[in-house]
This record gives sequence, structure tokens and C-alpha cells, in this order.
Amino acid sequence: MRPYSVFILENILLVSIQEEIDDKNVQRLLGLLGSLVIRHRINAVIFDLHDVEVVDTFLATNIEKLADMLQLLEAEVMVSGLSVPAVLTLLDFEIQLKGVSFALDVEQALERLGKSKNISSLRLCHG
Amino acid sequence: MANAHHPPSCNHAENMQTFATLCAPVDKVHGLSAIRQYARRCIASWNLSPMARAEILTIINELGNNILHHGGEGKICITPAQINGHLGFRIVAEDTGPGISSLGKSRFRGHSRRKGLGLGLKGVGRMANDLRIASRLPRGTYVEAWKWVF
Repeated sequence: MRPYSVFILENILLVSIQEEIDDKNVQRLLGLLGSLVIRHRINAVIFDLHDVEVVDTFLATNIEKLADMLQLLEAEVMVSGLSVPAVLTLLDFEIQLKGVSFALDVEQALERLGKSKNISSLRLCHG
Repeated sequence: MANAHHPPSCNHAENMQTFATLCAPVDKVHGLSAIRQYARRCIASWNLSPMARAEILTIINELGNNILHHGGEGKICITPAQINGHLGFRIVAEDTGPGISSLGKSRFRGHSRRKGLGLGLKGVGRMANDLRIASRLPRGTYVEAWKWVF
């Protein structure tokens, strides 16, 4: 099973990440998200970390790498669903996810991106 | 409980009681899944706060990823310990990698030239109550972290 799921909501990508994500899967995700952003004219990507209990510097580096690439492709990057312990960990590790904006949950992230809550089409996508 | 591989920490008093140690290999085959599973099982019976739980699992994650990225293979052991009503966990990570040639620098941001943000050990040091690192040059690194939860 892949440690991530990717959904397309109109011109937004929703990426749900599990903490077991490793380098190989990050590379795979990098390629997948890149091609999806271009093919579907995506202008925002939401990384939902709700299922991640533990954030370490390696996961943060990987998300930073993904965010860097997506920003070069003109897509806004949001991180949602961080737990309180995860946030405090980010502080302890001095992790600043540069250029990334944050939301409490996916709903708030969609709101910030100016999307109504009832998205008409939601497609699961595993390229 | 202490054996040749896990010498007791020298500045903890003698009336410390330790419990069964759980060890799991960390390598390309197992990744971090074995130690994660063991650690969850080990701390499940102690009724920890979500914060303490997350800190212990984060320390294990970070040390485990260090092994995978720098050492290649090794193992992590977790031991609950009690002293005067205080509960703590000893987390020991050992690998057979190249070791750290400049231990002093490894705690500063951006030291490492490999993957990671180079903040790992510093962050672990901040999160744990006590952190000891021994570099067994030419091969192997031994990291011992103590986390007291109450």
C-alpha cells in the first residue's frame, strides 16, 4: 500500500500523507504531483498530515522538497491537519516550511483557497 | 537489565528500576516499521500524555531515520525505567555506519551534508532530557537518549 493518497478536486490537489513515507515514495510522489499539476492546470496543493502522529526532520525535508517543486510550477502549497505535538516538534527542530501556508484542517484549507465546501467532483488518483 | 551493549547511564542513581527492553532492527528490509510497532507497544501500557507519547516516538523516528540515511543499518532499543516515582524511557540507537567525525558540530544547524535539514540531533537533544552520543570510529555511532515523562 502506498503511504499517500492523491485526490483531484477541480483545480486543487489534495494529498493525504501517512508517516511511513520513505524516500522512494517521495520520489514517486514528486513525479506524480508534477505531472498532475501540469496536466490538470492545478493551482493549489493541500498536504493533509492529519494521519501523521510524528513529524521528524526527514519528513519535513521531503515536504519542503515537494513544496519547492510545486511552487516552481506556480501552485500554492498548503499544509493542513497538524496535531499540537507535531507543531511543537516542528518548533523543537526549528523546521520552517518556507513558502507554505497552514490550515487547521482540509475544510479550512479549501476555504482559504476560495473553494466552497461542496466540491462537485472528487477523484482518487494514483498515477 | 543492563548488559554489555547498554551500559547504565552513569549519573542515574542506583535505585533505578528498569523494565524489559524491546529492541528492533533498523535497516533497509525493516525500515522503521518494526521499531515503531515495538515502541507503540512498549509505551501503550504506561498511559502517557499525547505530548509525551509524540516526543518519544519522534525521538525514535529521528534516530531511526539517521540510521537509515547515514549508517545504513543498526538497531534501536527502548527501555522503560522508574526512579523515585518518576517514569522515563531510555532510547538507544546504534548503527554500523561511518560514525560522526565531528561530534561537536553535529548538534548545530546545517552541519550534515547528507539528506535532512541537519537539525536532527540538535532537535532530539532539545526534546530529550539527556542525550549522549558516542562515535566509535572508524565504524558505528551510539546514541542514547533519556526522556523523563513525569
